[in-house]
Amino acid sequence: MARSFRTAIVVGASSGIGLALAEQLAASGCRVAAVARRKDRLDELAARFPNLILPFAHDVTEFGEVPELFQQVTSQLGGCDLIIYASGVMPEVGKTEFNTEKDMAMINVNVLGAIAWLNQAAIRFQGSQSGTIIGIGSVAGDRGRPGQPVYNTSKAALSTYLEALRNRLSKLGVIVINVKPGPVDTEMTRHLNFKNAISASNAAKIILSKTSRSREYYLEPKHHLIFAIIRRLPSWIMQRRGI
Amino acid sequence: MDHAATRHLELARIRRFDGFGGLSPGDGYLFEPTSLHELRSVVLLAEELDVPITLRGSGKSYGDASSPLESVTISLARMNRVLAWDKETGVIEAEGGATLEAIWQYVLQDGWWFNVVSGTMKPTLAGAVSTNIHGKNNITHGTFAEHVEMLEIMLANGEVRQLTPSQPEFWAVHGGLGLLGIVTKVRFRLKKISSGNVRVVQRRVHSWAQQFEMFEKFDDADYSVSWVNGFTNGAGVFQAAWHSESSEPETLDLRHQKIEGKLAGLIHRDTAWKHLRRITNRPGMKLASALKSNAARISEGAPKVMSLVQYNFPLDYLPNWQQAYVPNGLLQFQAIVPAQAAEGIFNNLAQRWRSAKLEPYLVVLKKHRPDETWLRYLDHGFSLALDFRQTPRNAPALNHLYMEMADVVLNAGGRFYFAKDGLLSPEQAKRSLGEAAIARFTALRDEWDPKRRFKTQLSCRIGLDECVQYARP
Ligand SMILES: Cc1cc2nc3c(=O)[nH]c(=O)nc-3n(C[C@H](O)[C@H](O)[C@H](O)COP(=O)(O)OP(=O)(O)OC[C@H]3O[C@@H](n4cnc5c(N)ncnc54)[C@H](O)[C@@H]3O)c2cc1C
Ligand SMILES: NC(=O)c1ccc[n+]([C@@H]2O[C@H](COP(=O)([O-])OP(=O)(O)OC[C@H]3O[C@@H](n4cnc5c(N)ncnc54)[C@H](OP(=O)(O)O)[C@@H]3O)[C@@H](O)[C@H]2O)c1
Repeated sequence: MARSFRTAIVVGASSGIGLALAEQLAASGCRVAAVARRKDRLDELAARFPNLILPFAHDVTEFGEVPELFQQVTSQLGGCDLIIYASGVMPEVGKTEFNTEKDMAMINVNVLGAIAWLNQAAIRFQGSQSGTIIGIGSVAGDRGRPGQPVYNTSKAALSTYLEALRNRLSKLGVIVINVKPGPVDTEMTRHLNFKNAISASNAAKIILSKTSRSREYYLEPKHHLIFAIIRRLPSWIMQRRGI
Repeated sequence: MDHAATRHLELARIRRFDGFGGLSPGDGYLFEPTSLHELRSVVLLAEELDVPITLRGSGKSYGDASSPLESVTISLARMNRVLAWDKETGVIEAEGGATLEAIWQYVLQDGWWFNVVSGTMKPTLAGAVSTNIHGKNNITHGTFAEHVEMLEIMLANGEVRQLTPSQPEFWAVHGGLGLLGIVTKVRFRLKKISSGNVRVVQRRVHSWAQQFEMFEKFDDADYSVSWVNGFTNGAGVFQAAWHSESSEPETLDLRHQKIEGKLAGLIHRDTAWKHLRRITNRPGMKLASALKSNAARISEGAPKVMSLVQYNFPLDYLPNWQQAYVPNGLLQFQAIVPAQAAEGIFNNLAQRWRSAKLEPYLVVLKKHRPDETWLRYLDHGFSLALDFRQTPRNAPALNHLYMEMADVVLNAGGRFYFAKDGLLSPEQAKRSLGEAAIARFTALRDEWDPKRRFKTQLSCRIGLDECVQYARP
């Protein structure tokens, strides 16, 4: 069931899924703090939703800034019912490439940035005994695959972290969700020319319609079956098939 | 205490606060100082970080009177000591966080009781001062303010002042809705009694006119109140009560006032709200109201003897009874209307709620007189307090009804009690309080708190403060 939120933080709101989430939340009357690096994009978004979208330019890898910024954001918002961590990077990685710089960037944005922001939310929601935390994971976190070793790792780490938060906080009435999209048509993936990608706005609509209970789920129902199989595939089959 | 060097508040202090009705949630950073010294450092911390302060008592106001907006939220739950008690004169001095419950338990055995007390014993003294509570004897004993001899308040700059009734500001702090400073100490007079019992007489009444006649007829009573059946147009059960005049020292014993563990020897009081929840709906409440009036028919003749606690705090008998309204909420409406217009207005209101099929499940009628407080809410006349059940489904219609009823009241020169309200608009609030009163109050805030450190969701909602960060639910 779709719930309505009064105040939300969307980290990674300048494009793609995060942008669509911020737009849809604001359209429902929710006040949204839109966080990302590209200030021009955030300002443009805020201009479309005056008084509803508050832009905050921030690089999530500046972990030390987060506690103070988090408080600034919540006090300007007048609360925080929902936080969505959507920031993510997936640089192109060649089939034989091992590039520590790219890998660290993924860990920093996809995992450590998430921990820096969601820890703040967890402390807050533990105190207020309410609130909803949503992480944008990925089907890519289900297995370690040849194409994107560290992207896979980062989404698996996010999933485990969110599971732990869920197991800590659910009993207090805090909802913790990890949603795992398959291909979504965004700036991150446009160059990959996915054939069956869904739109970011569709993805956002589904995410906002499933906020009433703690869980991890696949954004697209068909992935429940497909990934139930993939999760159980022995590694030797994956190696042979190049999956 | 937070380290002075950090530029933000310690996040782990965050708590969710709500009004008694469950419809005004807000988060704040909870501070519970134990001394004036600690309190001052909290006030100065808020100043340094430029964060608003919201003052919080026991949270028994129904709406948003003590709901924070990401504020430093100060509770005096640990500044709750009785500081002085003179059992000869009946004057007591206590810290602002002491509850009415703690006070009666302290003084009763010496033969004293409140001059003015609310229908719940849970409020703090500071909360009682800041909304300036009234009881079922408002017409004879006035409001809480009229029995206070001295109060101590800490202002936004940390300065502590003592105020007595001869100072005009004394009458601003009473009923000042926690917007002038922190009430840290209260010295007030109690009333001598010789018994811990009251004698209660009940009469069934069938119309608004009869209701008003009852208040006339029993004008010698120590207490009078009527429990109106919201499914009718003015019918209900009127109650008058008198303190027992005979000397009954055994009834002054705390054990005599004890609220027993089980209801009718069967249902645990602590969980009774779960049973109540099953009937907290239209058919259930319609039936319960009819049964209540029938029960009164039987008990109409003989006066009933009740303990002071049982009589004064019937709503404390079922702990957490408001939970029967969750997951939704309880919307209260308390309007005070001039005596000569009361019948017409109450008739009008009852017709509106009945035709909308949004009957209040509890309706309390009381008689009043005005007082000297700056933001006074009382007048010569009658008040009607209505408890509505708000659900996601009925919320739009109920809020519409509330606003319509508010306009009916305001057009007739009526007023609202902000300890109960959660919805009035700035325009309606201005009409209720009067522009002159607001201007005078604002001028005092300009002097005492020019940066408007003290704020609540209420002060933002009714336009006494401008709050960018206030997101209306
Ligand atoms: C069942 C029930 C019955 C009631 N019956 C009555 C009744 O018969 N008559 C009546 O008048 N009221 C009645 N009330 C309302 C209640 O008495 C008032 O709302 C009272 O103010 C509650 O006190 P509190 O300590 O809970 O304060 P809160 O509700 O927490 O706060 C009330 C106000 O006091 C301010 N405040 C709190 N602490 C301080 C402080 N230290 N310094 C300065 N300001 C402060 C707050 O900011 C707020 O504006 C009833 C409430 C309930 C739940
Ligand atoms: N697209 C897909 O197929 C797909 C599938 C599954 C999961 N996902 C996940 O969905 C999430 C959103 O991705 P998307 O597809 O919408 O991609 P996108 O359009 O590229 O959006 C990524 C967002 O992350 C922000 N971001 C990146 N680095 C940041 C940093 N250092 N600091 C702050 N914000 C940063 C970006 O903002 P700035 O650049 O302005 O900082 C942008 O708002 C990601 O976690 C992604 O892994 C995507």
